[in-house]
Amino acid sequence: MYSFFFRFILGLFCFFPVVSKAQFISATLGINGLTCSMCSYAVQTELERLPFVEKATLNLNTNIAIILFKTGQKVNIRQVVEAVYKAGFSVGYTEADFIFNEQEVSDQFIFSYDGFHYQFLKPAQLVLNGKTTLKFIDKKYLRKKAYSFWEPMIKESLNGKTKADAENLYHVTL
Amino acid sequence: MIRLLFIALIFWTVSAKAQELYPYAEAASTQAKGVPAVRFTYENYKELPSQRARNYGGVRLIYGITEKLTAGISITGSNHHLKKFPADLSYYFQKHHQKTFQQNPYQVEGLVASLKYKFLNLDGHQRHFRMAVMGAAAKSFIPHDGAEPRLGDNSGVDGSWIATLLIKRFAVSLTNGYLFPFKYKDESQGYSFKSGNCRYLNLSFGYRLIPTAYSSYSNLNVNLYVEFISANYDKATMTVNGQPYSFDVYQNADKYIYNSLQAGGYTEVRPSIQLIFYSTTRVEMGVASPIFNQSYLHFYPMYFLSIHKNFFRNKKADNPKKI
Repeated sequence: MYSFFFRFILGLFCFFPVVSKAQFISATLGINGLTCSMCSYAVQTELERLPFVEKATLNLNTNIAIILFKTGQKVNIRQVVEAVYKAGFSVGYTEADFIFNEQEVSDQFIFSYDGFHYQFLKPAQLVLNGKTTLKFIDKKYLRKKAYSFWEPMIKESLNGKTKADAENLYHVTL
Repeated sequence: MIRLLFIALIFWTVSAKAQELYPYAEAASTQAKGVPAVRFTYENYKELPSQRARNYGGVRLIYGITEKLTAGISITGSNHHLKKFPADLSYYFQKHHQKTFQQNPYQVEGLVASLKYKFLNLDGHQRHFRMAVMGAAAKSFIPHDGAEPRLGDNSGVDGSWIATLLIKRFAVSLTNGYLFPFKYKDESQGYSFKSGNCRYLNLSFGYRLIPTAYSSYSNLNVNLYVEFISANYDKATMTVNGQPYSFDVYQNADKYIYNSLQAGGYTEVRPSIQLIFYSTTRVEMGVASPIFNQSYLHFYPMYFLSIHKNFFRNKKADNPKKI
């Protein structure tokens, strides 16, 4: 009984800080495996189909996609990355610009925004203010070789989490 | 001289650096998920000695079920065959390439369904290596009369594996497969005919000639391809009223018809050029020539043309944006 009460009280205080007045502005993806414009067009049309995407522009020579998000709409970075895979290609890196307001962060720090949780791993800065580029480091969000560096930390972070919790949690760095 | 030209072309493509949208072979890459495409194919050659034009055409619908699984269904037609074998087989197997023999009608010949599954995908910046397996099954409505099978001409099944490497503007792909044709039966006349089982190996090279750098999705792409098609197959077998029918008596008649019924093997080369318009529509044209022996499915030179259109799922305006 005491144990249940203790957990209940603890649960009330164990929420992730919600970042207010914040939003995703844009994302930049390096697309792997592309060389011709027909394939690039398949990727661009998939990105443009996402309801929260205002505009997607894919540079045909560098294969870098810049995605601008609609203001006031819930942004789902997972769907952005999945759109590239749907077109038959993969992602070399995923970055997104996020507006912070004097936000203190640390290693393992988690913040919530629009129903998703974002956990920092080894952030280079401790106070974030204004437009900040978040690098997404989950599997499939960057090259396999680069992911292997983060893999042990991410696996430890996901240890014991349910599938639903894991799907709502992104790992990011600066 | 022609062989030297082809060899020079191969070295040039390898030393240069395309594309894997091959006019003949399937690459290991799959169709984007949820994206349909339609492909028209046309082939033409002159039959000898009749000098009659033989035409073949097909329409193929392609759809990306998932990013790894692509389905296709084709309908094919030509004036290559009669509706059924004639009662006088002896006259048919001696004379059907002569001008005096009745003209073949244009008709729908077969339906072909296929599935391709990409099981390996190693992507890098402007490069990828992919492997896939492909299976196809066909229902034919006509009597094919040669040892070398072709899905659509024959009812049958086909299985292959494909490996494709793309590095910047150069792509190379290897396909190895086995085609097992089913027996054609004409119960009203008591005939059965079976083409030989076929093993094939295709090696395809592709190179993007222009543009060297893109400025827009509207840029015209010009890709060059060289494809080597190799096959060997068993002899054709036929029965009449349940008894084996021998083709040996036709050995001294039309050599081409006789050879087309025997086991064989060949390598032919198919150089071709491809134009891609607005990043959605491919137009390809080329010619097939023999290098080692020859195919008896067609005469040489055989010209081919195909048009392939992808229907990408645009949310907004259909006009591709400039970068």
